[in-house]
Amino acid sequence: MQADVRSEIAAERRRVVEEARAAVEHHKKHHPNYVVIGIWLFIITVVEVAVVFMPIGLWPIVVSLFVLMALKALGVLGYYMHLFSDAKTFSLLMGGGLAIAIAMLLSFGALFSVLPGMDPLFT
Amino acid sequence: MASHADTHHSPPGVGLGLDMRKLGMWTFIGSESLFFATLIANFFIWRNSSEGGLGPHDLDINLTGLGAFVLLMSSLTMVLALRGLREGNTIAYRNYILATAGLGTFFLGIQVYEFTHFGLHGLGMTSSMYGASFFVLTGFHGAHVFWGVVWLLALLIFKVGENARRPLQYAVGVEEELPSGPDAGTDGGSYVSVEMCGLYWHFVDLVWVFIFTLIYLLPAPVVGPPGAH
Repeated sequence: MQADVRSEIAAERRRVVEEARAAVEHHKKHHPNYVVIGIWLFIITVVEVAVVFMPIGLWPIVVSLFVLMALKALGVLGYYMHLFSDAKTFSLLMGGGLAIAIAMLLSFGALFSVLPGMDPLFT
Repeated sequence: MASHADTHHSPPGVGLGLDMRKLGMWTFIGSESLFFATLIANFFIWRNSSEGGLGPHDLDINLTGLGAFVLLMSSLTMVLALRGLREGNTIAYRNYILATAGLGTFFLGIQVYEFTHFGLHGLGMTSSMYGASFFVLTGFHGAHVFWGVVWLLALLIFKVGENARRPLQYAVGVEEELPSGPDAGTDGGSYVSVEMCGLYWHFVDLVWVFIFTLIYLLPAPVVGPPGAH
């Protein structure tokens, strides 16, 4: 009787160990390569600085800078802060905060005529 | 709706299937986004008012570009520290945390140099509205970096996370390496303490991603490259 219990415990232990090993392997395979992401973030930063000095006209520079900034922000949020793999609630909290922040920036831009092509409301 | 019995039997610190401390950290980070957005909006409102004082032409992109690189690399070392902790590699964890704190301190050094340089040339906070909004925005970011460095060093000094029990490590048969400290037998809670510091640090880096582009790189009054004034 005691031997049966022992063998059951041993089998259960083997099963747990196998599952844990599989989980570790899965984690190693599917976790992003942080160094590669870091290199990409560095390259984007270099391109950002280079774009400012390129003779491509004002608006192409502005649009490029915003796209590159968004890419970098996505890289940090998604991979380094794990929003791509973590609970969606965290993404909602961050996304909600960012959405309100952007709305506020645009509102202030409109109010104080910072946005191009707008007549000043306050002079 | 959860019954009283359901909530009564929830593990401590856990609800809605989420770690409440992480939920709190993300709420804090979301609200901090609004804080910095306000300061950035303030900067945009005043960025054409640089007469006689600090203006866009005084900013050194090469120096702050170096700062941006340093902060990005500190984010990398932070996430590698967390990976080290998760895999039970305490030495890697400690080294990467130390590297993160070092890079943060280096960034602060760059900022102190920049501020001092402006101050010595009479381009202080009161020299123009542009200068005032610039110093407030970048100064608050620097203060966040400073507290981040303090937090990182506190992790090292108080050995936070190093006693965390890692269920996977436990299962694959390294029980003899398990600690017997106050955190032993917990659900890896002190790992979350380190993770929260990591979230804060990445957020500080994220804010600099925005500041670097919007304040240093974006052509002034939709403007032409910095230095054109």
